Order: sequence, then C-alpha cells, then structure tokens
Amino acid sequence: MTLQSASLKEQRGLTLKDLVAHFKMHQGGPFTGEAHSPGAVSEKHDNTEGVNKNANDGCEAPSPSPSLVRDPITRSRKIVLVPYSYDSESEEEFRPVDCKAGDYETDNRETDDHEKKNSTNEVDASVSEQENAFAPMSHINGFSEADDSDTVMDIELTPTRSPVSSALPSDSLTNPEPNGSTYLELESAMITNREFLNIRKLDIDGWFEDGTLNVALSLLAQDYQAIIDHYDIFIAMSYLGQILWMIDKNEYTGEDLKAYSAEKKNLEGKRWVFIPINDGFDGNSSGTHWTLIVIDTQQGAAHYIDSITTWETSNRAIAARVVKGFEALMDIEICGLERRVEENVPDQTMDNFCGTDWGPCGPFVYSITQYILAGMGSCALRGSAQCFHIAFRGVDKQNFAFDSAAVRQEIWNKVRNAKWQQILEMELKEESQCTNAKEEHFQEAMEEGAAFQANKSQENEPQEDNPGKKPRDDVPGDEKPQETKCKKSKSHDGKTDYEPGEGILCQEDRPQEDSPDDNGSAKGTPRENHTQENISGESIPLGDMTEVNNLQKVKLQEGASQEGTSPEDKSQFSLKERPKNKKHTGNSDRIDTEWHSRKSQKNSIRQIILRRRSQQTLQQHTFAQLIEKRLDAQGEIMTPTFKKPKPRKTYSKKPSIRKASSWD
Amino acid sequence: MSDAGSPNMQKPDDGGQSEHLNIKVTDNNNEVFFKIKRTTQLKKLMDAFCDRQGKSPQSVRFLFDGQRVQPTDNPDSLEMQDGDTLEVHQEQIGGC
Repeated sequence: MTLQSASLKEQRGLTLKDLVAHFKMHQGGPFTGEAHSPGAVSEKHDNTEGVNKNANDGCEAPSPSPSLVRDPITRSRKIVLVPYSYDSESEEEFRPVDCKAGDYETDNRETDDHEKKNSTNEVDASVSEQENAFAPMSHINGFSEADDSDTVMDIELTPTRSPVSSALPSDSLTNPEPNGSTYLELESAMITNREFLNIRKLDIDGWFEDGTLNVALSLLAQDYQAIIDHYDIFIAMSYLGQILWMIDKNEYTGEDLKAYSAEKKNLEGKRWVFIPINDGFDGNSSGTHWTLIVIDTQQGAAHYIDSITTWETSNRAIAARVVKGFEALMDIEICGLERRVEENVPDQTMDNFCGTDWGPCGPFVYSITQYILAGMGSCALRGSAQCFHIAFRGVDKQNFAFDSAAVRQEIWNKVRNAKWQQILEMELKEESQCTNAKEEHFQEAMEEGAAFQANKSQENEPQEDNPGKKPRDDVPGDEKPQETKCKKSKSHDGKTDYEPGEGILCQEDRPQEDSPDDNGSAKGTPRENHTQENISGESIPLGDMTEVNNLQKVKLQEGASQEGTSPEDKSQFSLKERPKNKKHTGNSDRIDTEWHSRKSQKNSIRQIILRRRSQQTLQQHTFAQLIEKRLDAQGEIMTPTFKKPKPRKTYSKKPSIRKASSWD
Repeated sequence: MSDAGSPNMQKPDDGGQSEHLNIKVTDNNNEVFFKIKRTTQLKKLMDAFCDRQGKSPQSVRFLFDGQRVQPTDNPDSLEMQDGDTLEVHQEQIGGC
C-alpha cells in the first residue's frame, strides 16, 4: 500500500462535511460534496458537469455527457453525476465498465435510467473509501453542498435567469466557428475557437497551445481556490516561464528587473509556485513539449516534473534556466533553489489509459497539477508541512491513473461551462442595465409629472409674470385690444397683466374673480379711461368710442345667438369685445378675421397641449405600475382630461356680455 | 539578428500630441518603439511589429505586465503609461 493510500486510511474518520467546513473557512463560496482521492485525479469528475470519465483503451475523442439537465416541470436544474465503476479484479486500478464511444455522444445527455441505476449499484466500497478528499468547487452560481451519496442532485439556481438562457449551451457554444476568434477570455488567459475545438482531438491538432493550457490551469485554480489560498499557491501562466527564461538568458539585473515588477509582485509571498514550461521558450520554435516546475520557496526547492523524463532529458536545461530566472527576479540567495527532477512520474504514453493520444503532455501538466492540489488538500487536514512530498510521492502509475482523453474532456467541459457562465452573467448584466434604465425613466417621469403639476397650478392662478409681449410682437397693432382687456382686470383686481396669449383664459377667469363687476357699470368708465391711456398713450375721440361700443354690441349679440353651440364658441365671446380697437385700423372686418384666425390658432395649440399631456399621462401609466401609483399619490397628473370642465364654467357665465352691453 | 537600439519606428499618428504615448515593443532580440494614440487599438501596433519582424500575428503573444494583450485593447483600457513595454513571446505548443 502506498503512502498515499495510507494517508487516506487515516482520513476515513473524517466526514465530507468536516472537510467542506474546513475549507469553507478559506473560501466564501459553496462547495460541492463530491470527494475523490488525491490518488485518483483522473477519475475525479467535473462537478459542474458530472462527466463520464472512462479510461477507454480505444480512446476515441469523447463527446460531453452533459449532466446539467433541466426538469421540464419544476424548471430546476439537475446535475446528473454518472458514477464510476471499477474493475473488480483490481482494487487499485479502476477501469471503465462501459467504454463505448456512443456513451459520450453529445446529444446523448439523457442516458438510460436503467443503466444509471446499474452503474450506480456497481460502485463498490473502494469508491466510498476515496471520498475523503476534496473536489473542486463549482463555479456556477447557485450550487450548494450536496450529499455525496446521491448521484442526482436537485439544485435550485437563482430564479433570475430565464429558462431559455439556462438551457444547455447552444450549438454555437459547443461548436464555434473554427477560427482565431476569442472563445473565452479570463483574467489572465484566453482561448480561441480553434484551440477550444482542438482540446478533445487526439491527433496532432490536439497538441495544447499556450492559450489552452493557460485557460485550463486558470479554471483549475478557480476550482481549487480554497486550497490555493490556504497554501499560498500561485499557478502561473506559461508566459511567466518565458519571462523567467528570458531574464536568465539576458542576465537581467537591477534596473532591468524593474520592468518585471508586476510579475514579481504576483510571486511575492507565495509558498508554492507552479510554472508550466515549454521547450520553445527560446523563441526559435513554438515548442513541442510541456512540463511543469513546482517551486517551494519555503523549502528552497524546485521540483521538475516531466512526463517523458524517462527517455528525454533535453528539456531540463530550459527548466533550469527558468528556475535561475526565478531566483534572479525574486532575489534568492546565490546558492539558489535546489533543483530536483522528480523521477517517480508516470509516463504520458506508457501510463496513459488512452493509448492513442498523440499529444498528452498538455493534459498531463493539467492533470499532475490537479493531482498535487488535491493531495495538498488532503494534507491540509493533517496540518502537514510536507504536503507536497506527501501528495506527490504517492504518485505511481496506478494511483495517478492518467487518462488524457478524460482529462481533455474535463478541460473541454470546464471551458465550455466558463463560457456559458459568462454568457449568463452578460444576460444578468443586461437585465440589470435594463432595470437601471427603467429606474431612470421612472425618475424622468416623476420629474415631468412634478413639472406638469407645477404648470397646472400656475395655470390655475392668474398669469402674472407674462407682460404680454408675444402678441405685441406678432401683431403689434391688433393685439393691443387683448392687452387692454387683460389690463382691465388688472385695474380692477389690482394685479398685474394677464398673459395676452391666454386672453381667453383671462376673460374666462374674470367672472370668478370679478363677479362684483357684473353690476358695476360705473366701473366700466374708469376702465375705459384706463384702457385708452394704456393703448396708445393718446386720447381717444368720444365718437370713436361710441362706434366701437356699437360694433361691440352687435358682435356680442351675434355671439349670444350662437351661445351653447360648441365649447369653442366661447372664444367668440371674447372676440366680441375686440372691435373696440377698430379705432386703430378702421377696418373691423380685417380685425375680426385676424382675431378669429389667431383665436383658432390658440385653440389648436391648446388642443395640442392637452393632447400631449394626456399622452404623457398615458405613457406614464403604461410604463410601469409603480409610476401610476406614485402619480396618483401626487394627484392631478391626469388633469388634462379634467381641465375641460373649466371652459364650460366660463361658458355658462355671461356677465362679460352683459358688462360689455352695459357699456352702452 | 539584433535590432536592439534600432531607431524609433514612428507610427503614423492622427494628431493630438497630448493623446500620444511611446510604447516599447520587445521580444528577446529586438526592441521597437511605437508612438500611438491612447485610444488606438493595439492591433495596429501588433500588425506593424509583426510586419517588421516577419512574423505571423497568430504566432506571437503580446504581454503587458504579464497579462496577455488583446488586439482590441488600447493603451487607455490597459492603463498604459508613456514608456511602457509590451513583450512579445512566441506561441508555445506541446504535445509529445
């Protein structure tokens, strides 16, 4: 029994919840309850996907076996975790029971329930023994801790996502255009569509490019964030290795290293640094092989892990140069780090359950990193300072159980899920933006409502602040009578002018305010005098005034005959008083015509204003119910429809007519 | 081989002197200086560098402060200062 197995035996007294509770202290996010042994990295499933991982000897490129399914009734997502099955003949070595390519069909997400049950029952005790380790947390929101004994977990996600959005990724997500467009961009890495599509390929196209490996390691780091925080681990991108290699090659010192302050800042305070290495760091080629360096800054050791170390040693020189560059950047003593080549490393081909993978070194780097992180997680429970050695020395060909095809599938699923998550986050962001826009619109509506209310209260009051320049500007000579009329009320009420533009309103309002005038014919004379003075500053001949009054009387009688025909006729009453200005033009017909046209314009404008206000009110009401409530709370916002009775009131009052006639 | 210290390669600019900044683009062997607007996408700079060095834009990675730079980024989005350096690394691939 290996040391790793022994360590697992010691942990059996601990429950999964204890492990989760322990690591929750280091991370606020939820943990899934699935556990796996650090010695069985390749069998570890992706919690977000529940991927079938079969060590398929045939190793055809497996398609995903989506485990996120949506219940058509409850609309809740379910994660279907397809259990592992092991070869009963070998307790340490697990073998796939179903190793058919058809099991990986992309659309075959609904596996046969009967098979599921069978495979569930086939999980033997060895699986439960290995449930004392950690599994990566899911990076999909809403996942919660679940019972690891269940193979199906009902997980209620946040209800903010629409069923369509929450459905499994579309074909464009799983099969993007094979070009160099960015498929997924993370904080420190990105992968193109072409690289994403090549992840699961087992031929020469399946060689991992730096983007693929960096994204895979970034997503892995997200899953193991608790362990990474606990041990001060830094999982570097491949670019750091290139930089370190260049630092040593160019022998940068002092000022030169200041250009790499950002990289140095990232490395400071880290106990463990994982750096992927490629033999193409020299820039002469794109490289052919990926390896890994694990630097223990506390122990002063650099562990070189190469999946082909048994038959290829040329890459060690590049790794040594990277370590030297690390020493230079971090100002490590001249004795430097102890460079250890880990010999007890499985071979990427000989110890690969997938024997047809032509480029397994990339998946191997990912898998060995995952293996070490998981081992460190188990060591964390014992507080072991030698976590790396305990975790790593337990590696052997059987426990590691490297299956590059399964690892490729796992990486593919992680990348796809991350892309999916980004899409969902974008949708949520758009929703929030839409909500903000609604809020802004609501605020605008409220302001408009307040402004309208203010205008309405202004209209109810006499128009005091408008000196009536507008009519004078437009028709200077002909508008003066209207001004005169307003000034009559002014002289009576002791107020300022009415707005000439609202001359109708002036007269309409007058009966309410000037009811004593109805009988006060004596007051008409001073008004006349006052008007005469205000009009032109020159005295008006008495004869002219008589003529004006006569004409006015005739007009008013005509208006009285039309009384009650229509609300618009009330404007005629105000017009009947207009002829008193005939003295200016001497052409009463022209005055009447212009006056009528102007009145009609005003009426039309008034109608437009009323219509717009009613439309505004309708818009406010249809926009949101909240707006409606608040407008109702403020009241009178819907006044445009209620203002119409106002002219009716004026229409029924005819004292102005009598008043005008009394001037005779 | 070495073009280190090569004369500045002035990129055709669009005016607005204060909006420009000098960026050094370097790989292991060469250093090229570009003067670009803050809002100009770095794709122009990348293409110019690759043209000058005879490399394919898909075969190199541009890094700023250790982070990979996208062609759609610009100095403003990366908060670059005058005199900052973009590092160019050859793409890495491995399988065997």
